[in-house]
Amino acid sequence: MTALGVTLLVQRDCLGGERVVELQLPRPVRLEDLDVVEGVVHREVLTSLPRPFFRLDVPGRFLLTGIVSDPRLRFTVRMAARERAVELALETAQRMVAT
Amino acid sequence: MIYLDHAATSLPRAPEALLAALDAANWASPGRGMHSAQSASRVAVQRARDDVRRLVGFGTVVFTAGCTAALNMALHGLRPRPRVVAVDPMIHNAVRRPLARLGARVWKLPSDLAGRVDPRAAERAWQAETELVVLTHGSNVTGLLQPVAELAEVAHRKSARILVDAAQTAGLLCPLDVGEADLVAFSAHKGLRALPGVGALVVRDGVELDPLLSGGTGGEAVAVDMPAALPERLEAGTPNLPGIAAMGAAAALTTTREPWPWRERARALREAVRAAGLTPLGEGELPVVSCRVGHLTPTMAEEILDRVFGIVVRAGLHCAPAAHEHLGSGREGAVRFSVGPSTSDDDLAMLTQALRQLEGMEGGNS
Repeated sequence: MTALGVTLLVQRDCLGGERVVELQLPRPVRLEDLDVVEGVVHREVLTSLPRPFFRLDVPGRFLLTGIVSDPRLRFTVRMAARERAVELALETAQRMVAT
Repeated sequence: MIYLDHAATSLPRAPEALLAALDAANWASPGRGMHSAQSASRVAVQRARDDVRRLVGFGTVVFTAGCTAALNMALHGLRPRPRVVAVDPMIHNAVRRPLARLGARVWKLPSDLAGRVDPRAAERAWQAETELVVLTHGSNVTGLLQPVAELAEVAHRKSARILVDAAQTAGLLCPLDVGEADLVAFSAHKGLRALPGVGALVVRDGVELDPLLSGGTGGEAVAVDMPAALPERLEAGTPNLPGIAAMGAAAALTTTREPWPWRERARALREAVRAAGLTPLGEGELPVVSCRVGHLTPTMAEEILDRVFGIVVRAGLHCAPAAHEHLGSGREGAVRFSVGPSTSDDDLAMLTQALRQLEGMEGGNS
């Protein structure tokens, strides 16, 4: 548990580079939370699925995925930013929770 | 949750195996001293060893910490040390990495696009001084079975030993049908549905192995060297009694009861994937299928199947980058679906339904 009140788990994918940081926010994600993520060039909310899955692509930094109305987030942090993986994820989560 | 990662570890465990493990947690250390408690334990371990041996039908069963440990024991312990080793294209990292550490020259046996080795072509392409052939009995990526018995004949005609990685087949194929293989490695927690952390290396008579670990065996305590006889030579330290008991119980079930219809389930799994419009990678017989899902990366497909549909599958390279390289999926890997005895028709229908949605998915921008 972090100061933000989020639960954090760091994993590695099996392809050898990216860091995967999973966070559980203190509350479910809302659609408007996605607006505060900086540097997003591609935003997709898959509303055709039984649960609205979203992905936000921040090039060179991370891919953020999750489900609207679910508190869990997954940051797939790109190679170039992997040393700052936890920091990037926490900063972003902080911004989302503050909305 | 619909669990479709049985190729990694099969759940739920066999109840008989769990009960045996509970009982064995209170066993004394076998072969240590001559008191009655260790005698009972020794008899029970021997019974488990006999039950596991019946899966293969020959050799001495050496209990290990799993299939990876068994493969390392074989690859690093085999004497004379192999300098040239032939492998099939579907090898797991449990073979690839120890071979790299061993420093052996490794060559790939000729195969078709699915990775199935052709024994006659293998004999024609045989490279001089090959002393060992390592075969993946069943691929953990595609479920492909290799013609192990025929390849063992080829290897022996060429005076090479043959080591079989039976991680995916132990507990399914019964008997294991590995022909005249010299060494067979497998774990307890996949097809056998016993516990993780235990496995076996079956060693045919006449095959010489040096131990990777040295230590107490309960006998010949004065000697500095490990005992010459198997299994003691390769079993230093107190054994994993709950693991061994569970493995023995699961092996006894496998050899005495009607097996679950895994061939039929494998066909049903392939049909379920094809019904969603997806094309399995390669070909295979075991209940394991891998494929790409629409335009999604494998990790994205895994995440959506898990979090949106509650279907647990496995994305990536499956610790078998060589296999994915052969299949043309070496960059990102694939999504793997593997079923077990607990998988129902309804589970497969749900999988098809979910995959159809992903295959034809049109994500809306908000």
